Amino acid sequence: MVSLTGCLGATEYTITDVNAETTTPLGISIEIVEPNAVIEHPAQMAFSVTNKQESPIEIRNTGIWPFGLLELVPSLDTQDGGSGTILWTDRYEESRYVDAESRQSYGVESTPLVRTLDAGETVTETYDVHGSDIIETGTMYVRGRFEPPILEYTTEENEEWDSFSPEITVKLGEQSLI
Amino acid sequence: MRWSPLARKEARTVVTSKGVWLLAVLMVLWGYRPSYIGWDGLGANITAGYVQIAGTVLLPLGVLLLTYQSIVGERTSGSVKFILGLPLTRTDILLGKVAGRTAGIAGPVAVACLVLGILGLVDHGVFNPILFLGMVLSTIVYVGVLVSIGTAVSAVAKRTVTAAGTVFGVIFLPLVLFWTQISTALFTQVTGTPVNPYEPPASGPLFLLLRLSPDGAYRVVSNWLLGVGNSANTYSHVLTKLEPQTQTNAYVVEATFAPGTAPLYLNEAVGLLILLVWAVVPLGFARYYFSRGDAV
Repeated sequence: MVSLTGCLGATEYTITDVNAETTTPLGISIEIVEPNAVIEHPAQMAFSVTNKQESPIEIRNTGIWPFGLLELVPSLDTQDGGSGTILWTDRYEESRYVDAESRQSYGVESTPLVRTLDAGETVTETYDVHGSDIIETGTMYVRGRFEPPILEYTTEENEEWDSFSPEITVKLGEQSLI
Repeated sequence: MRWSPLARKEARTVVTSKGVWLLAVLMVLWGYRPSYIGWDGLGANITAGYVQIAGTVLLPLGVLLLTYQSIVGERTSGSVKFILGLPLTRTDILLGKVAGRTAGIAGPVAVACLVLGILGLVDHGVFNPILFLGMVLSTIVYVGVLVSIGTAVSAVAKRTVTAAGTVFGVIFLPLVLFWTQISTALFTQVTGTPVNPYEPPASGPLFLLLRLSPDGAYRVVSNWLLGVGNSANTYSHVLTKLEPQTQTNAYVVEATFAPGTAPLYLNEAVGLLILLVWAVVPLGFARYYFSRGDAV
């Protein structure tokens, strides 16, 4: 009876593993802050970006700096943004560049937010994964909500803005009732 | 109360039956439904919401099945002669049956609610005990109403199979399972106004009709206690309806009527009155027929 109790309830999830790979002057790391996306609270992941160079790097994004609006998608081949699970942070609601009514209704202004990441500097932002937003489980990929790159950057040696699209994987599983 | 010994016997019969305890187990399995929308709307008081879910569908079916034989069963077995031989009027017999069966079912139902409370406490933390108690009491009142209806059917029916068919085909299916569809179809038939369940018309009679079933009235009262909204739908359905930019087929007064424009008869307190009517009127009819007919 105990094992069956709750089987009609909402599915709850756990982040079982995260991984990030990058080969650019920017290093990215991801850490699980809270693995469980349950009805009482969301799961949380902290994303950090580090300037691995000895000179400053400018980072550009929209909405919030440095990562912008992010989402989890089942494949990086996914063409249409918004088909995945939104990664949420209260900074969306605080930002005047994000029109965030709810996790189901939000938009972002195209105003570019550009700031400098000094040599060796690291910036961290924590995002929530709400269980009620999760569409599917398995290995998911992190990408920008409206455009695939996580962010854009430029170095002193480079006059162009380069897209930063590291492969960041998040393994999501359903929580067992037992 | 001359009927209290009969009530005690009835309560003992029910509470020692396997059926009522099976119902209690199923209520826990059915009722314990953690949901994101429920947590967002109620927090730890979602545990009190589980009581409402437990009181939906399975509880009315179980209570009707546990009561439909209460008189007709004794009539067909012949044991009704023993009861009629007691110094009791037929009204006393009906009251004794209803009070006893209600008490006999209320015990296991209260145990099921207690288990739900413990599970909720462990899983979600401390909830409002007064609210939880209110939900349990309103559910026990609903049990009493269902027992009254089942006993009334049992008192009027001549054969067990007739009573079984009536509680299932005339009470459970139309008044519990399909009342929303029946009442909206009835409303459309009478007024000619189509009802889009996602955007229903702000019609007082339609919303009243939806809560005229015992099941609808119970949910109006329990939603009132939970403070989620004025509706005959389940609390999670109501919370979903009241979410911005969400479309769902729930009939919620706050989502349909402009503030202050809902008719007075849609006040949640009227749900209590409807439950009272369902407790008294079928039993009154049953008393009329049971007192005049041949009880053997």
